[in-house]
Amino acid sequence: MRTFIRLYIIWALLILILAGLIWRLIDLSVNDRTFLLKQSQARILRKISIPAYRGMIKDRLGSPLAISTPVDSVWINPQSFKPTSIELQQIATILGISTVSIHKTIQTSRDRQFIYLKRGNPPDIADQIKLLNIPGIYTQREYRRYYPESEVAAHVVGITNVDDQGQEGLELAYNAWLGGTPGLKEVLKDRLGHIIANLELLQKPKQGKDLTLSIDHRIQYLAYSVLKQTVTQYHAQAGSIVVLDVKTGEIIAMVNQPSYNPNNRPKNHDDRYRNRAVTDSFEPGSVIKPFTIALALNSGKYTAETTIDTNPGWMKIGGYRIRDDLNYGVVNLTQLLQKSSNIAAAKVLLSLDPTQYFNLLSDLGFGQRTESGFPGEESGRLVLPPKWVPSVIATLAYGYGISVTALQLAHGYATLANGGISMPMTFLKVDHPPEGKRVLPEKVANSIVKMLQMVLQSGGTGTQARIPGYTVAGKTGTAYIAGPNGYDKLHYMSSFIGMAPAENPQIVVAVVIRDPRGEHFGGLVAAPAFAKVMGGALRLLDIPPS
Amino acid sequence: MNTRVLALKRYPSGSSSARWVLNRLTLGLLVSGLLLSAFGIVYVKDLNRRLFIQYQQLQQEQATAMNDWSKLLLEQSTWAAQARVQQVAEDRLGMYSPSTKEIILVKNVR
Repeated sequence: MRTFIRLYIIWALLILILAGLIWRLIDLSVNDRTFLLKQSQARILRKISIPAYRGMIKDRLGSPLAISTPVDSVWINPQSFKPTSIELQQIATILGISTVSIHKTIQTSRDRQFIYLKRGNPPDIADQIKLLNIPGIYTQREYRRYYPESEVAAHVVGITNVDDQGQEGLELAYNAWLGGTPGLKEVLKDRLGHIIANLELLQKPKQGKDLTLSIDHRIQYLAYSVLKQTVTQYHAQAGSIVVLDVKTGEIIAMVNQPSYNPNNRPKNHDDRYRNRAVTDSFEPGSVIKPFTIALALNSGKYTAETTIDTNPGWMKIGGYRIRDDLNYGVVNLTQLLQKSSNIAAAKVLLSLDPTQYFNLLSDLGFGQRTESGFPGEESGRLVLPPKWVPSVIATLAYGYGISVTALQLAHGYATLANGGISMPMTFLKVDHPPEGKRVLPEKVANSIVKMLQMVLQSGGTGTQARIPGYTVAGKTGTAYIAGPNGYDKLHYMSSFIGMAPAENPQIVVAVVIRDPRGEHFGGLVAAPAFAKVMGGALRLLDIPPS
Repeated sequence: MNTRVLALKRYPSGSSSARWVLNRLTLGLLVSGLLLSAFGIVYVKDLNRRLFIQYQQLQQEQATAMNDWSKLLLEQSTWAAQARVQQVAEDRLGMYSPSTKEIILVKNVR
């Protein structure tokens, strides 16, 4: 009987132990399940972001205008960052910042878990930091834009901020297209930190796409150097040059002075940042006359040979007196443009319907936004016809009382050059040119281009714009700049806008110089610059001489 | 005398030993099949992990290559910048843009 009790006791003990184990098993599987699962996941599950690169901006030939390069930002976790003074000194030397500022950074962020120490370091610097193996200091891969063309294309391309978001120019306008959104995926990591399995794609990354502009970087550089030389030579306040492709509406070059270096931008966001060709408007003066003539020819009341008497060289209208530079006597429409007679232009417009002039100017793009895709476009000002009294109409005929941008002027001339069809302006490379809108009859546009050729012949104001080997048509402009007290007649806008080759224009170049000193006539200041830019552009684009 | 003895179930001595062998053989086969598939799973899982690590490394290489490419592109554009080429051409090589008189036009006669 005793032997049985021992056996039963052993059996009971074993069963108890087994029950205990089973209970522990149930306890772990059911009660502590969530806690243990979380712990396990914390050790092996990771959410990793999939990087998306910002697209490149290229010119029409494929050369890069804006490229992203990787930089590493160094950040610390103040909770776990406790460096010795030697380590602190090492970090300070590598990053090029003072130990004092590092201390300050730690002080101001005691209760945070993340603070940048220095953003935008070259990757080799960040590698040195990583080699130090100091706990609490980490690196984060970011991207920074570099602009190979620097100040030459700065206004058009624009800039991004430290978070890689576009701030100005086309970087801003096409930020959504260029910028990628990083994706997110969930992975399993093993003990050593290697990723061993992709579990789930939580968010698909959107890669940034490249942008191909219509800008030709060679012509852009040519225009920039010519503009810079002209503005410096005449101590002008500012200037712009716009080069357009007549047939497609593409903007081949757009430069302004003053400019800035986007790779090393100035601390203050000052007036160097403006793309003046698009944002600054001014009274155009005589360069508007071809459009007055267009209205005249279109009305049927005038032909190229119709004469107007400008004697004695001045004219009273309203309470004002308008005058020409000289008494040109009796001129026909061609000579009106050639010598740039204000009186003749005023008389022509006064004999026509002002509402028609308003409509024509609006159709040509004046007084409205150009819709080129550039942010911050200025629409200029074109006052509505009911406000036009005769003196207003008269001055409107030769370019006062209306404000336009350099791009709008170039666009208007491109419409004339394109046989009267207005093409939409674009900064992007065009493979299939759109339809275009007819604004003037072809005959009218072609006769004006013929007349404008005479401006460069002897007796015209634009002789300095001649280009050996090519036929050119264009117009000079020398407009007073209005000050707070009216026109002080000391400050001028000097401009020349022309097209070539005259028999079948391919390119329009608009040169506008603000407030040149010494000389001020458009034919002296802007015309030579035009000749250099247009000559170079024709040669670079392989357009054969006439 | 109340000891109970578990008796081994013995096959009736009357049945053939061939059937006994066949049963043992099938059992052995099934067990080895089980073992094989178990090892197979282990092998495939390990292979999966190795290949995945390789895949990650290649992806990393691709990312590095892309970064290098953009850096090289940047370097090339800086070296080939219009301003620099003009400066080098004028200062170091003494070149200039030819005037119209110095240019000879050759027509492509077809």
